[in-house]
Amino acid sequence: MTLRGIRRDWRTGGLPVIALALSVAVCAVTSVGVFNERVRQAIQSRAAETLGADLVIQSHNAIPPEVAQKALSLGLEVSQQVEFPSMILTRAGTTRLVSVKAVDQHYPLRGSARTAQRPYGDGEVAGMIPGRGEIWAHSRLFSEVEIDVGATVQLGEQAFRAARALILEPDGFSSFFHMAAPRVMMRLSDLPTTGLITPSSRAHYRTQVAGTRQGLTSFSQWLDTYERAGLERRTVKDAQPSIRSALDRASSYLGLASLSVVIVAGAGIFIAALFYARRQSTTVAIMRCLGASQRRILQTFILRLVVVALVSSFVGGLLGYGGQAFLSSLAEEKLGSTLPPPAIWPLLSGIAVGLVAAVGFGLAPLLKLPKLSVLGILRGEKGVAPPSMWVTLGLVLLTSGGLIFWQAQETVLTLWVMGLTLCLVVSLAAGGWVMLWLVGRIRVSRPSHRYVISSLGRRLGMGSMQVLAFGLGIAALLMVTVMRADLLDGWMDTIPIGTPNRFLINIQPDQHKALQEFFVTEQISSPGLFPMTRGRWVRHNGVPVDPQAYPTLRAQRFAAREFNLTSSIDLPDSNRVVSGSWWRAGQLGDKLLSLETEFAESLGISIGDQMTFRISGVDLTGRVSSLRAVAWDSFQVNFFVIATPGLLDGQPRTLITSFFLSPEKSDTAARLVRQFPSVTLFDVDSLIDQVREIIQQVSVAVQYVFLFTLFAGIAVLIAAVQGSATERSRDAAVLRALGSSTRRLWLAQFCEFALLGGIAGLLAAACAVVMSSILAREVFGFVLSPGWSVWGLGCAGGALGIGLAGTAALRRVLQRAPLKNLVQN
Amino acid sequence: MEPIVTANNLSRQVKTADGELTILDEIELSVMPGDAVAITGPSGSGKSTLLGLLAGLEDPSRGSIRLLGHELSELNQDEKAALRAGNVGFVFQAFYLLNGLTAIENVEIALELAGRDHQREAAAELLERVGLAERMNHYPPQLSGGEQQRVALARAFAVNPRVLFADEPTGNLDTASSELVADLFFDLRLQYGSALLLVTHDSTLAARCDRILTLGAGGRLQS
Ligand SMILES: Nc1ncnc2c1ncn2[C@@H]1O[C@H](COP(=O)(O)OP(=O)(O)O)[C@@H](O)[C@H]1O
Ligand SMILES: [Mg+2]
Repeated sequence: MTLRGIRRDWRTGGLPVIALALSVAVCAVTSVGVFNERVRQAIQSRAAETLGADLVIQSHNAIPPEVAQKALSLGLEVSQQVEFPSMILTRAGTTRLVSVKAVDQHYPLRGSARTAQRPYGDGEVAGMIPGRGEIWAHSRLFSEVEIDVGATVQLGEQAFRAARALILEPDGFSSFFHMAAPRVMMRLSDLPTTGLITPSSRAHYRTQVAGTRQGLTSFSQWLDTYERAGLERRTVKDAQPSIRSALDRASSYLGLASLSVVIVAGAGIFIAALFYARRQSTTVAIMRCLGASQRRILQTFILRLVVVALVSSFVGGLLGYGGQAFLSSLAEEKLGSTLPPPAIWPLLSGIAVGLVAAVGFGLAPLLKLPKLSVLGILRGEKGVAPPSMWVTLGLVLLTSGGLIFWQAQETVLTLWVMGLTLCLVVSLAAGGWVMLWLVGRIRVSRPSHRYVISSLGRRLGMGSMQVLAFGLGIAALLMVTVMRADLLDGWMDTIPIGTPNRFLINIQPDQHKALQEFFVTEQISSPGLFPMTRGRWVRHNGVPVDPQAYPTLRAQRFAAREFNLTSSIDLPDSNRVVSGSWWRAGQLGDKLLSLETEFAESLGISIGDQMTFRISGVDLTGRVSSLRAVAWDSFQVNFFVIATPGLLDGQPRTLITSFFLSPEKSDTAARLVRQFPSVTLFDVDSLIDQVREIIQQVSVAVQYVFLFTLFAGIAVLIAAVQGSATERSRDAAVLRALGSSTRRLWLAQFCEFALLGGIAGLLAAACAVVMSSILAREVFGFVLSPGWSVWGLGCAGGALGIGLAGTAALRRVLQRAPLKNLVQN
Repeated sequence: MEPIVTANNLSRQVKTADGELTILDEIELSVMPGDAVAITGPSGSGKSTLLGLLAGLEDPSRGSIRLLGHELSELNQDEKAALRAGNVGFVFQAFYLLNGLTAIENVEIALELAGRDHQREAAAELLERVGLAERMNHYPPQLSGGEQQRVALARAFAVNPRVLFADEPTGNLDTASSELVADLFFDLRLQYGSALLLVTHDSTLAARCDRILTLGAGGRLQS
């Protein structure tokens, strides 16, 4: 019954366009969803290299063997390690505090260590761990204790050969600020012979775990129930703020971009449903005459809508799978790496999105069907009444809000995007209305020109709907094409070539001048040296701090470790005050603090709180006067806590700096370390590369989303053209009978659509500029200065595109202007 | 003098589900300048089809049509349109005004298509003539059926057509407006001296023409 009904209605129009718009939307959502997930996993596993694993369990006590057994039984890979401070003794009798890391033969599970023949040499991938009786030591150790590679050193009761210089430790970066002692790596099986580990020694035990998503999830769940005191968990998410923030930005941008396809398609669905309802009015009148209840009629049409939605969403979802395969192969080619296999859940969620969109955007016009006046229809007066504005608005808002929330997973962001979308929709529709009204007022003497203008000016309601739909489409196109370039360039520019890729810490204040001279002679430009003072946080608003009292592990860790405090007069570049205010010139002598906002949040610190730090035995108290958002992926030196000079002046301090070292200057590093043996140099090239890679991936995917917005826009166009096709074809026939040439007919149609497109394009350009600026500031963290091309492209592209597409969509109507229908049976 | 329209051996068949259907069969017809010819017949006999063929709105299955000295089968769509512009007037049962244009603009656009720009005065004059001086700037949906048809009359005669094709011009109107429109129609035709091909099943209307042809069963034309 339903199927037969659908088949019949299919030909009268409306339903095919709903199906088209839905398939496009679902195809976009599914393919971007699948792709996003794959890229996310690929990048996470790259990022996992900085953790050496997917998940790390850490404890101050030996980790019970059942943890590793459980992981192994779930098919996960496991590696064990112990890290502890110790003294190293050379043949010459020099001693040095080192940080020893003993690893088993599975280390590392992700990424690989790099070692070299000589200190600071070009690292090669180490396929294994140090051999029996061997250690690898950080380059810096060789210069500090004046030994060469191959020398013998004593660790505890055992002698070791310092076999190679350790250039890169995959899981070492995250803790570099806190690692004052150089690293020494050895094999775990050698550890007992050293006699260094006793129950009282300060060791960190670690179990690294890696494997499939499912395995990791089950393992995490098991850990939740196992929960033994002192077991701390770390995942990629908390390992790398820079990668995490880049990845989050990428995901939200892509997700929201694919939603724009759904919303544009939604406009198409709405217009098509209007048309469908209008076409069904006679059927409904007859059904009513034959005694069908209003309820029955409503059920019939909703059921048809849902069935069409299900089928077309499924088709769209399958197409989306094909699409993402293509997309992924593009990405793989560009990145030269393979992506993990696709998951199935994006297909299901794509279909769900399709159903929601169909009902949310298509229901309102159908709701009036059962209420239509039978007499009116039979007298041939008017069709179904237009849907109630409030119902439409409510449904559309609910739907888009729901979809945005589902994509953003965050209330604040949803409200933001919703508010923006609402502003966008209202300004496009209202702007379109006003412009069309103005166009309708233009005085022209030629009736054929008037015909074009009046076609626009007369159908203000439908016209502003079309401006809205085209405007959304064009704005989305502009956002992902012109603005994409601006956005991605701007984002790339936040880590331009020359972004600091080396960090230098432990610089003594008296080395300041010499180091600056070194930079000058080596032609290295550095953003400057920042003072750094270590302090332990002892009191919060006068109450002693108890790290164990914090609910999250992250907070416990923050509270327990030594803080790196800096003082600064000005707000650093990649920082933005989110609440409170930065200190003014007159406040520099006051005792004020500025905290990174997430950090403050996890520790429950708010503006106005007092924090007391113990710095070399002296307690200093400051008042929190501002919270900052930090762009961690800018790779600038950044601090959780910044103090006024008034608070920290006179305290013991070291200096920290970062600088860019081009690949061909690798000797510089060696010279630097030779001249300043006490400083510690860190290399963050691989991190920067990963963030750049994320941006690359996004740019590939976004081009693809662009295509979908185009298709959704075409669906809108077809829906709109279909709605006015009867009248247009009749007018064309009349004009032709009166002697109009084909060219003239085409031209009139083209002009009408071009005007509509031009108006939509102009408004869309304005929207795209505003939205991109907001996006740049809020999501990507930079100030966008859009070029002029967006306006020209919006207007001209809109006019030409909509003009041509509209004329093409009307091709059948015009070519077969049904002259013979003018004379009646 | 050359006839305005001639049809020779004109046939029109259409394919239907139950095979070929002959609507018109070997029609012979000639209309001289100034002639008024009525075509009558029962509903479904093919009157409108014949009118459409003669005006070049549709193509015949067989036979030839000469309109204003041109063999229609030798012209393409645009050439046929160009031939109609300024020479042929139409009045349809369903009026077919352009809803986006005011009454006067509907008249003007016919003039413009006939290559005569800026003829607002001529258009206004004709609208006055059909009694719509007050409604010139109204849009068709704001006019009654009779008024719309009078605008259509003004549009048809504005270009001073050599031939007028009318398909049931009063078919959609009530009796009173019907009479008004019919009177205006024949007055204007006399004044402009256009030839007329009028399709109607209304015998009083047909009687006002010089000649009456009847389409009978099998698509044959009888005098
Ligand atoms: N393209 C067509 N296909 C099928 N039948 C048609 C077609 N055109 C006209 N007819 C049929 O031809 C007959 C004559 O139509 P028409 O000329 O409109 O009659 P009239 O105007 O005399 O009432 C009708 O039965 C009509 O249904
Ligand atoms: Mg007829």
